[in-house]
Amino acid sequence: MYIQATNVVKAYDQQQVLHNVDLTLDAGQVLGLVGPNGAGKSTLLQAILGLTNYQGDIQVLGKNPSREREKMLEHVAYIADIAVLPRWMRVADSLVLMQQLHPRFDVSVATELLSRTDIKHKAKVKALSKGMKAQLHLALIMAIDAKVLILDEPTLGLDITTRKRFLSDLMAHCYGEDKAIIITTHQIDEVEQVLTHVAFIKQGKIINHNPMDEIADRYQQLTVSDSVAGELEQFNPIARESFMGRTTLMFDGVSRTELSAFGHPQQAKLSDIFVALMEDAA
Amino acid sequence: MKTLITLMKREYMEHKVSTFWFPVVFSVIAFVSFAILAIYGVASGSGEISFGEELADGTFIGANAVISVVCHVMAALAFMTVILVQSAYFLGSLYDDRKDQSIIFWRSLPVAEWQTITSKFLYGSLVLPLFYFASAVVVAIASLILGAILMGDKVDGLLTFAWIIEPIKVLVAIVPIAIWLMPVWIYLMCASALAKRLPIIYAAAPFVVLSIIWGISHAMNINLGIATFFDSVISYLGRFFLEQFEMGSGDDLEVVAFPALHWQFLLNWQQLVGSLVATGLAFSALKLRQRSETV
Repeated sequence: MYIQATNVVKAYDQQQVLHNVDLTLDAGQVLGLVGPNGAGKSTLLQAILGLTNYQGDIQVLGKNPSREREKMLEHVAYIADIAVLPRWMRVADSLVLMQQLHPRFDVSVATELLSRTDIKHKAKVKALSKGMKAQLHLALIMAIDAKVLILDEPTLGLDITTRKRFLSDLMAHCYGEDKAIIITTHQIDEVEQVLTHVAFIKQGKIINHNPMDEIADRYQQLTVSDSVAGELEQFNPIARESFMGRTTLMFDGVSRTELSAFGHPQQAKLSDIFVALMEDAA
Repeated sequence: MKTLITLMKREYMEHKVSTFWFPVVFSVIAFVSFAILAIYGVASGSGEISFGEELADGTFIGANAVISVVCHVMAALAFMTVILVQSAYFLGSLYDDRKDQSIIFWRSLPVAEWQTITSKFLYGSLVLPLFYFASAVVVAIASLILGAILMGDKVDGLLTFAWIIEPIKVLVAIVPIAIWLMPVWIYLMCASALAKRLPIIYAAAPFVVLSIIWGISHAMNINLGIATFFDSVISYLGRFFLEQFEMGSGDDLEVVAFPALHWQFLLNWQQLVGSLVATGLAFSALKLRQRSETV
């Protein structure tokens, strides 16, 4: 197991942010950690990286992130959800420093990734736009031959074209059978295609953690006329939305065969499942 | 070791203005000022520019002494300047990256906190003054050469190893000075690691509180030992200034602008206590850094 978090608890002052969180990640997995703002996603990731104090047990590649952080980080790369690159640094400085400080950083990969952007090597970080800073940080992180990649809102501030390119670069450079990725994002639909697993987190609790295959089988959507919608209440839909005489319902654990009697059920999109689960758990 | 050197290189990149450009600008200003005064003095005949002290018998003291005096006086001026730069550097050393949140980026790299702290200490206590002292020495030598050119035949014994030895002595003095000031710099690093805003307030607060307690206890005729503590701090820091400048005369002139040039300066019980305090403070700074998060 690459990451094993057990009973992780974190509180800031009087407010508990993580409640007995369990999370696992194994080789070859791409886990989407999905939750609303303030759900505890970033805090959980920071605990996994040993960047914040916590209670409970976390093992990353067999190492305790609090006590063996620097050893662990030789194989773990991380992007935070906020712009954290030093503002005084030049792009060229960042390449030099990364090359000398990280044993698994490949400067040729970073240079190649940067060559596809408008970022100049002489530019200072503080002079870059928000999107450029994100692109630079992504290039630096994707050039690390890491076993575990932890990406907290990596596409924040990027336009749609760059986001798409990021995902294809991510899969090309960072994905493999011996690697694993955790990604949080609000653009769920865009990352859905690359996820192998998804964990929904709400108010510091993991409320659902499953492989995407199971998610696809488990959650179905069906759009019917309002008059038929009542008949489907017997299947206990977890979400319903009516619009211009048509109602779309989402079901948890109801077979396609059963629903086919009423229309054409479709696999629910992750973003719709997310909304349904968040409202359901409210 | 490679990591430490890279981390110090990072410090240089971040503090290039205060490390490199400040001393360069000061040096240029100092040299140009000297040159204008010297050339004006010679040209107008209103001032005697002497490469060496003119003694009562009309002779000039030798070049060795003058080179020594000028190098050490320039270095003393550089020291007064760099000590302010160092104070600002150490107050921001473990605070600035928390304030701009770049600590998250640095902590995502396989670098231990002790390496970060050590690199910052070595950079602030050795590398920073090295640039200032080196520029002071360069200005001193340039001024001496200009003086020698202007003085012509009044120069006595210009071909001397003092041109090499005195600058080296000045640069080597950086090490004992760093050891002497170690508790001060690490104390400022502790304040920097602890601060949630304006580290200088955190650095000054204990002394302000102690002063108030001392005032109250003094009024109540209670001896809490605070005065002894203050006396010890003043004695420790003040010995540098109290022991400064010892001069002889003629070619025997010896300038001790930096008592630390003589390593005996460090061989006393005060330094021993100072080093022990510095070690304790370093441990505290490490613990504070390990527990610190963004501000």
